Order: sequence, then structure tokens, then C-alpha cells
Amino acid sequence: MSLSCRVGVLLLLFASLSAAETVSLAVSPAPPPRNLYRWQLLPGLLVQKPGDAIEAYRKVHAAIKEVEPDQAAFARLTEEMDKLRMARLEDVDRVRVKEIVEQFKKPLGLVEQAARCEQANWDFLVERLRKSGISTLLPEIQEMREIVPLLAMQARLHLLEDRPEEAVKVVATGLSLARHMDECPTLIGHLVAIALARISLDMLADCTSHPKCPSLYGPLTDLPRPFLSPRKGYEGERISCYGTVPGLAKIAANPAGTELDAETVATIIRLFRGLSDDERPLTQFRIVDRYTLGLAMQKSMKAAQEAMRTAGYDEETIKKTPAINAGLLYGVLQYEEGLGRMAAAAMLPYPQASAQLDEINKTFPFKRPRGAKPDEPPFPLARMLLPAGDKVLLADLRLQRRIDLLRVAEGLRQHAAQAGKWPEKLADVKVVPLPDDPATGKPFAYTRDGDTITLDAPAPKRGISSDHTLTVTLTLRKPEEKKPEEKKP
Amino acid sequence: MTSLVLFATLIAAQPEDGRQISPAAPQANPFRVQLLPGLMDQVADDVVKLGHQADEELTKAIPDRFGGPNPWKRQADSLLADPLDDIDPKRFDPVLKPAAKAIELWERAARADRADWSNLTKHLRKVGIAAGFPGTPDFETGIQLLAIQARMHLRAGNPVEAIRNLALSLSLIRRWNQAPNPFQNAQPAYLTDQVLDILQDCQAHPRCPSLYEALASLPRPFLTPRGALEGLRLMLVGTLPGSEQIRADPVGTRLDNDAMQRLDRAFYTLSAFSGRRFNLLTARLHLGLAIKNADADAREAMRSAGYTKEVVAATPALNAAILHSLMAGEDVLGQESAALALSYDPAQERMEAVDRAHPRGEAKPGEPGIPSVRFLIEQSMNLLAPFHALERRLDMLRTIEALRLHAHQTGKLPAKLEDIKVVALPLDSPSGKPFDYQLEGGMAFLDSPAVSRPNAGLFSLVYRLRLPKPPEKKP
Repeated sequence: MSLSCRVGVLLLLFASLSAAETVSLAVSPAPPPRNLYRWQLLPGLLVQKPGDAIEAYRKVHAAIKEVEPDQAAFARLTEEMDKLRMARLEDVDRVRVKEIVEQFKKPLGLVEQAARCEQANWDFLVERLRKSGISTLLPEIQEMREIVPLLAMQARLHLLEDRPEEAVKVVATGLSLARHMDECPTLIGHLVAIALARISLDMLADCTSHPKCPSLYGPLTDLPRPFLSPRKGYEGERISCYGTVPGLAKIAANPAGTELDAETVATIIRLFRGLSDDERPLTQFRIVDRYTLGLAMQKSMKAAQEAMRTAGYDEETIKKTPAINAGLLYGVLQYEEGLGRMAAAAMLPYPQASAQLDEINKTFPFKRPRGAKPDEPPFPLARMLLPAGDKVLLADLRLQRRIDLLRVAEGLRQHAAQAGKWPEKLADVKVVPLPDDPATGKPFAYTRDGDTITLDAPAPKRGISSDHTLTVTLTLRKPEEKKPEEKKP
Repeated sequence: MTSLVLFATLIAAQPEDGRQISPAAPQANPFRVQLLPGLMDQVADDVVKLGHQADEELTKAIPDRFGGPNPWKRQADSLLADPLDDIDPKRFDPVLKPAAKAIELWERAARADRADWSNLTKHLRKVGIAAGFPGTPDFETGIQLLAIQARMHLRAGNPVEAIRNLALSLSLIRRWNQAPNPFQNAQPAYLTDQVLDILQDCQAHPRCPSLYEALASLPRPFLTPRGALEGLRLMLVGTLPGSEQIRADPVGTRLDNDAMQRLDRAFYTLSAFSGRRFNLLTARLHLGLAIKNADADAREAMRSAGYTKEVVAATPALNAAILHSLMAGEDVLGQESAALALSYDPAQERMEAVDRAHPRGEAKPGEPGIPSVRFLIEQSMNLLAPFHALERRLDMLRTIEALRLHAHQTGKLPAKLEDIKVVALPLDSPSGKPFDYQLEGGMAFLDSPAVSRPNAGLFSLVYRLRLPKPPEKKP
């Protein structure tokens, strides 16, 4: 998979991350575990080993290939595993799950070791991005994605065989895999990490439904917050922009002294022809030749020089910079302004981030209705390469809400263990502090109907309304009635 | 402790007529001014290895920097402490030039993409409470050298270059904070304060660009106690000889003579932390008694942890005692780990509860014979306040940046914080409330709100701020 195919993949990922959901579980009241480390949701330093996780996951992929070399057959198996993963636990074909786990025993052993590695080294990808920009190939991401359905099978088997502690260890492996993926310096890596974490948290919800599982409020609280961050992804996007346009890094460092040779110019023109799939650049560059490009640069020269001035280049440099360099630099400066603001907004609490992104969308030309503006860069990198920041923000929010909702649910199980019943309202829970909904900064909506409670995270202000709701319904299991002791004769 | 003193002096250090801040336009390119080096500048290397190399270089250049009164060290300290305007620019060279090679290595370390702490983790796991920190380079000197370089640039009127150096210092601080180093956890917070002092000086410079986005995009919390807690757990395992093997096989594991001697020393030290003092020579005797007294509780703890009846019965008393101590220590560390992840007030409440539940003094029923718990509590009680104090300061600095942007837009400071529309304002992290703000005669007062559970380490901060006076018109 290359970065240039990412539009399709991103759409698929967004679609998979943006369905309205209801999670229904039958749960038992549960006190906290005596030793939090036995139920930890990320491998602690004590169980970590020196080594590079990414290298280790590649070995897992090779081991999977050994078991099932036929790609089409593995794709069919993944579909089957997805069905087994999403079915109600009591409806799952235990024999088939066991068969799959047995078949992939070796890769599953290796993934456990990989998840416990101290480092996740994506250096090689940074270098690839620097060289190839959006044409960079990302096979490692796909390889890491195929591991999680196997983990889900393993966790389900543990639960079916009454071993919730082992199942939680598998969840920890899945969450560690997601964190390692999140170190990947691309936004696509960040989104895949969110998808992996989400599947792992679904496994965790299954675990909390097991009667022998203690309240996992503590281990969930102990997770780093935010659990995943788009920070590295945004940084990688920037590197990828420089890698996409040959000579751009040199021009940024020395705009006046860098001379592009004819071959590089031709490559740049070809590149823009390929990338410019929106109205103006496309019509302009389909018949592109030096004349049209020259005209476009001439039109925007003043604006380009002004942009250089604002960026701190001195007058002498601005005067000496060739038009093509100024045009490219103008494009990249506008791109960096947009990307930098998006990246900063992504680190803010959701309501503030959402408002900032609204502001960015209003302010920036790359989000204006299509159509030529004389002062726009001749190379509109912002329009072509800026990521969909608002979609990334929503994906981040959904993951954080999922973690927080699970935390609230586990806090409620702890309350039920103490009080013997669900609380009338969330504010009645005193045993642990419950997190607020990160979308609003207010408590999640809570309703109680007898032994069943519903926790609701309504659609946030931004986004696709009801597609972003998340509802958790918990039904309190009745304590098993003790059978009267048989009298011994 | 040093950080507490520093916080206390923050208010006093401000000039009577207020700290000057210069209006600033929004950043055209947020990547131009960042407070942590970006991936673009990252190099494939190991920060720990580079740190050691930098140490070697500095030792070659200034051999006696740790011993006795050292003029180089004294000069370096004064370059960090003296008011910037009082520093003669010629004073920078004698400090920075001899350290040039080390600084270059520290700069590279700040941009390195990984930190390999495996030497330190191995050592903690092996030696425990008696561990030194062989895997830790002298981060403090590296950070301070970069901070001095930042002051030099600021003195020369180049705030952008000063901020670039501060970003490198902050990167080293974050790396240091991630180390599993249980004893130096407050140091990174203290050094961040020094760096933020210089950042405040930058905010006063008329050519300092807006730092709003640079501050907003810092990872938060900026520093965490996670590394220290992980280090404490490793230290606990290392302190109790054979504990990992005993956990896996309580019946079959036997300690050799060397391990027994280590256990004597560990028992002596741990007992001292619990307020139980005796002569080291009699440690073995006290240990034997303590194990005997707590044996029933140790076996009960094993049963609750899921060991079978047969294993519990067959486990030697010494192994049961070690296991009991390990599990009790991990129980407390787990509680603290979950508590420290909460917001300030509930976190403080829970940490106080853990402290109260395990007082110093004679062993109580249910407590392990080898008293690991009090030692762990002593090491972790100061893991909360310095980190929250730092978050508070970062939030206030971002609010000051919002004031600078507002001043650029309107030409004056706002009458109230709600008047700022140009960017979003942060809340005070520890209290979750907006900062208090007042404008009186051109001077703005920015104050941190009170928290429900005060702590000596979480000082309230007050900033007195004013815009530069307009130049007087010549008649």
C-alpha cells in the first residue's frame, strides 16, 4: 500500500471508525483487583525486553505466511474471524476458534514477544518518506493489521475456557500493538492504530462481562492519556510533503541559491499533473508547459514574495529567488501553516480543537470553494496534500470516549459490588471518580431501568450526527442462587 | 525540594512594575517555532549513548567539573541565575567554548529518535534498593548548557534561536523523565522550570514570535510519574532477591548465601524506612523473627493470589515472606499508579489515603514481615505536585500568549479574559477552573485558582504583566 492510495484506505478507515454503535453486556458487580499489575492493560517495564517491536512484528507476519501462504485463503479466514469476533460470545463455535488458535500458535507466541519490546523503531519509514513522499510504500501497516483478528480469537478462547486473566493479557498485547503502530510517522498509521485499539477494547468489553473478571477501572485509568496521539502522524505528513516534491527541502533552506535542473522541473510538472485532481490546477496543468507554468508563477509572484517575507526571509534573498522556487516555497509555506495549525488544534481538548478547526477551515484558501484566485500559489500543495484534520479529530475522540465509557462502566461495577445495585444517578458513585465525556466536558448521559443501565455518548457538535453516537447498556447479572446443601446420609 | 523553592520565588522574582510582554502576531508557519524538535529534524540515534559521549567530552574539556569549587561550574550557574540584562555577553564564551563538543552531542541527543534504558533497567532489576544509576548520563548539565546557549542568543537579540535551544532542552527533559529512575523524578520538573523562566524572558522580547501554537501542541501532561513508578517496581523486584523466580516457583526456589546477605541488607534498609531501627549485625535475627510472626498472613496472601493449597503449604517460610512483600508492594504501587493518573484533587486524596493506610512503626497484622510498602510510599509521595505545578505553569504561559495575540489585535490588554476571542484559553489543569484575571491601570494580574486539597508542592502562581510603554515622542 502506498501513501498515494491512502485516500481510499482513509475513507474505509473513517467508515469503519464512524458507525453509530451500541454495546450491550450482561455484567456482574466486581471489586477492584488486589494486584493491579496482574490485570495491567499495557505490558509494564518489568515484562518488557530490549529489542525493536517493528522488526518483531515482521517475524510474526512471516510466521503467519508459513501457516497460510495463500493470501486469498488468509483473507477468507480473516473474514471468518471477523464474524467470530463480532458474534455474541455464547453463540461462538468454540471448536472452530480453538482450531484457529492452535493453527496459528507460533505467530501468536511471537506477537506476545513483539508487544513486549522496549522500542518501536520506524526510522526506516521516515527515510522512505523523505525519499518518496506520497509514493511511499507502507506494507508493514497491512502486515500489522492482520495480527489483531488472531488475537481476538485467542482472547475469546480464553474467555470461553473460563480464563479472563489470560484474556486480559491478550488485550494488553493488542493495545501494545496499537501503541507501537501509533509510533508510525503517518496519519494513516495513526488511524490504523485507532482501529487496532478499538478491536482490543471490544475484546476488553467481553472480558468485563465475564463473572470472574474484577473491575478494571484501575488498569483503564492507568492507561496513558491520550492513549494514541496524531502528533507523529502530522509530523510525518510534513516530511512526506517535502519528499513528494523534488528539491523542495533544498529550496526551503536556500531559495536564492538552489537551481532546479530541467529534469527536476519536468518531474515537478508531471507530479502536479498527476496530483491536481481538482478543477483549477487540473485544467491548468493538463495543457501544462513552461508557458502556462510561467504565467501562473508570474500572477502569484507578489503574493509568494509576501509569504517569504512573513516567513522571515530577508529582502536580498526574496529579490534573488527564482520564480519557480518562490512559487514552490509559497505553496509549501501555505501547506505548513495549515498543517501546523491542525497539528496544534489536535492537541487541545475536543471542544477547543473543534472550534479551532472550524476557524482553520474558514481562514484557509485550501478550504475555499474551488476556483482560481490570482494570489494563490501556482503549486497548491495545501489543497492537494493537507489531511482531513476534522476526521482525524473525530476518530481520536471516538477512541477516547470508548476508553472513558469503559472506565465509567467499570466504576459502576465497583459501585454495584459495594452497594449491591446500580446507582440512581452517576453522581451517587463515590467509590471512584468517574471521567466526563471528552466531547462535552460533562458527565455521560445515564439512565436506569431496573437492573439495566444505559450510558450514552451523544453525537458531538462536529461530524456526521448520529454516526458518532456510542451507547453502552449494562444489565446486572442476578447472583446465582445457592443450591441447598444435600444432606449426607 | 529545589523546585518548590523555585516556585516560591517566582512571584518575588517579578519586577514591582510587572513583567513586560510584547504583543505578537499569529504565527504564519507554526513549524518555524516549536518547543520540541519535530520529526523532520530527528536523527536515528540513542539519546542515552549520546549523553554518555557528551559526558566524556565534557570531562575531557573540564576535568574537575564535579570536584570542589570549580570556576567553570560557578560561571555556568551564574549565567543561568543572573538577570539577563546584567550579563556581559563576553561571559558566555568562556563557559560555552570549552563545552562546544559536548553541546553538539547533547543537541544531537535531543533530536535522537530513541532512548535505550536497558542498562538501567537491568541494574535496577538486579541490585534493587542499593542501585546507583549507571545507565543515566548527566542530563542536568546537558539541559543547562543548552539553556545557557538560549540565554546567549536572547541576550544577542535573537529570540527565535533562543527558542530553538529551549526546544532542545525540553526534549532532553522529556527523555530524562521517561527513564525508569525512581529517585530523580522531581529533577526534570525542576529543570523545566529553569527553561520556562528563559521562555518567559523570550515573551518579553519585541521580536519574539507568538508561542501560542508551540505551547498548545506540546504533549500533555508534559512530564509524568510513569517512568518513576515503573522504576520503583523494578527496584522492588531487585531488592527482594529471587522474587521473580519465587513468584513463578515458590516451592522449588532456593536462595544462595549471597542472596541471603543481600536480603539482610535490604531488610535492614526497608525496616529503617518503616521506622524500625536495629543494628545491621542483628538483621538476620530480626528477619527471622519478622518472617515467623507474619508467616500465617504471608500464606493467606498467597492463597488470595491464587496459589493452590498444596503450593502454599509446601512453600518455605522465607519464600512465602518474600512473595508476600512483593505482592504487598505491587498492590500499593498499583493503587498509586491508578491514583496518579487522575486529575489533581482525587489523585491527592487517594495518595493521602494510601499514606494513611500504611503508617511507620511496628508491623501490624496482615502486613508482610519484610516491610517493602513504606519505602515505596516514601519514594512516590512527591510524584504528584511537581508535575501538576508544571502543568499549571504551562497553562499560564499559554494564557500569556493569548494575551500577546489579543494585544497585537487590539493594541491593549483585555479587561477580562473572556474578551479574548482570537484563540481558545486553557483552564488551570490542577483545579479545572479558569484562571483569575484582573486589569488595573495597565497592569494585568493572572492568578491560579485554589485547589480543594492544597499541597506544599503546588504553589499558587501570580503573574503581573504589562505591555511595553510606547516610545516617548520627541518635542
